[in-house]
Amino acid sequence: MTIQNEGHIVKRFDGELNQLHYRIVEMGGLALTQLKDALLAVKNKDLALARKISQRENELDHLEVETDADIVELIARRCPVGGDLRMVMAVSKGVTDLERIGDEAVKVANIALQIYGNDACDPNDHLLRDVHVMGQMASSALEKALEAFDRSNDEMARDIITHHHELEDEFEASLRRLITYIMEDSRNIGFAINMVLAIKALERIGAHAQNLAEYVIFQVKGKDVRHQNP
Amino acid sequence: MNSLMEFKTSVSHREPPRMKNREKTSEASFNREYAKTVGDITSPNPRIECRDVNVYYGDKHAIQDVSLDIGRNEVIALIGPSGCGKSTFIRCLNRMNDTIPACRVTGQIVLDGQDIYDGSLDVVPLRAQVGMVFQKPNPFPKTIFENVAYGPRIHGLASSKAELEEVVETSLRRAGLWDEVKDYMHHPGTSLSGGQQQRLCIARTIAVNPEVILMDEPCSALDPIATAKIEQLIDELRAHYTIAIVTHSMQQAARVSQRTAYFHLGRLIEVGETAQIFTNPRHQLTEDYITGRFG
Repeated sequence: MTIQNEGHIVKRFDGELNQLHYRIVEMGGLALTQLKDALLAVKNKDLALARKISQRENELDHLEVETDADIVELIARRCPVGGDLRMVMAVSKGVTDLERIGDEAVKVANIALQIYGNDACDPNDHLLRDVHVMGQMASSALEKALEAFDRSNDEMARDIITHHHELEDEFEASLRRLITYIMEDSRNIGFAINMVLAIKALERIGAHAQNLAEYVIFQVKGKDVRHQNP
Repeated sequence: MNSLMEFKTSVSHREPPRMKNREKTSEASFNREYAKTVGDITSPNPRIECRDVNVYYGDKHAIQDVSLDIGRNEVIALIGPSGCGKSTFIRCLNRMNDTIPACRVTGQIVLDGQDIYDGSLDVVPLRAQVGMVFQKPNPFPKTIFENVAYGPRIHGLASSKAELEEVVETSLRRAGLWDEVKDYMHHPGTSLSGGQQQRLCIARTIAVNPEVILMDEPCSALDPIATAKIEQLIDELRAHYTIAIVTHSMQQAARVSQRTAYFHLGRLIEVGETAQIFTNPRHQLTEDYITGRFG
């Protein structure tokens, strides 16, 4: 089924759907910013930036609540069907994933505060490289997913899903390195735990980006591809 | 600033959707492009099978090459913009169009293995077998009892007064009206409310043991509560009858039917499971209509 480019006879309905679209773009932009700033905070040992991320988390939560309220009102008033219904459902689910991405970004920022704060343990730059690499992959996946959402591009979405395993593989490789690091010297355990939490958060962000891609395919094609092999 | 602004600038600020200038589609080009119905027109064990049905009002070609099965014990909703031919089509199913002098029907409509347009067929029993409920409730100017008893009496379906009373009570119970009228059976049918009158008309229809009930916008003159009662009744009647309902309310079609057929300019554009039609229609015209992008 082709994507609708033309407006409804009732123009206010167009406006309401556009409002939903802009909301998810806004949330997506904020979630992406949170993630990129969290990674910068880790990379540049920027504690002020790390604190700012925690403070900004409220904005994402607030947007989630507002968007959900808009969706409930739209469903009650407009009874959307067809492509409109699928768009509303995709946004409804996407908003939840974006809020979770914000939570994971806060975790990464808090880890920066842990490892560079007053009681800092000795950071291992070699292991931090894993965070940077996975961070880059997660950022890229999220950025592509948001673009696919904005453009209703199901091919772009399929590409994200197909390549998701690369992030999973990197996560497993990083875990193995961390285990080896702990085994070499048990005094490394404090730092290693923080690294595990950081890469786990980034792996989760990658999974949420895949979810967003799956919602795009549902919106465009009406096909539910969740829990399927790529 | 930050990637938030960059992101928003690069991918947002999408122009609101504009109406494309639709080129005027000629009837000929429309017919060429949309000749084939999308979706499965057949039904397992159908009650009515329509093949290549065409209806003409004089020179006007009102229904074009429509083929569709009406399934046994299903509710099928016919939707489409005004003038698309949905009422014309269902009126073919019990030959109500015979009452219009300029109307001509071609093709085949088969009810339980018999072509209803066979010249030897008596239309009176056909219209008992395939009953009809109209948009505006139209009780006879008789008592409530006589409204329901009239049909069984003239069709010889009751051999005694007691049997007739039993038929009337059963029909009114099935129509969900018995408890409201049982103490007023000799009051005029027209003394009832609009919703009650419509249920009386449904009772009248089912009193003659139809196989199929045709409903042409049965709720459009009713308030929401009366509408809900009719919809509940449709759900209950499905156990015993096949129902084809024309409705302008897509929400009603979505609520009451198992299959939905979309008509446009006299053609059957798409037919399918109701859930599929309203969540993921296959034809762009169907999507445009149900989402309110044109009427």
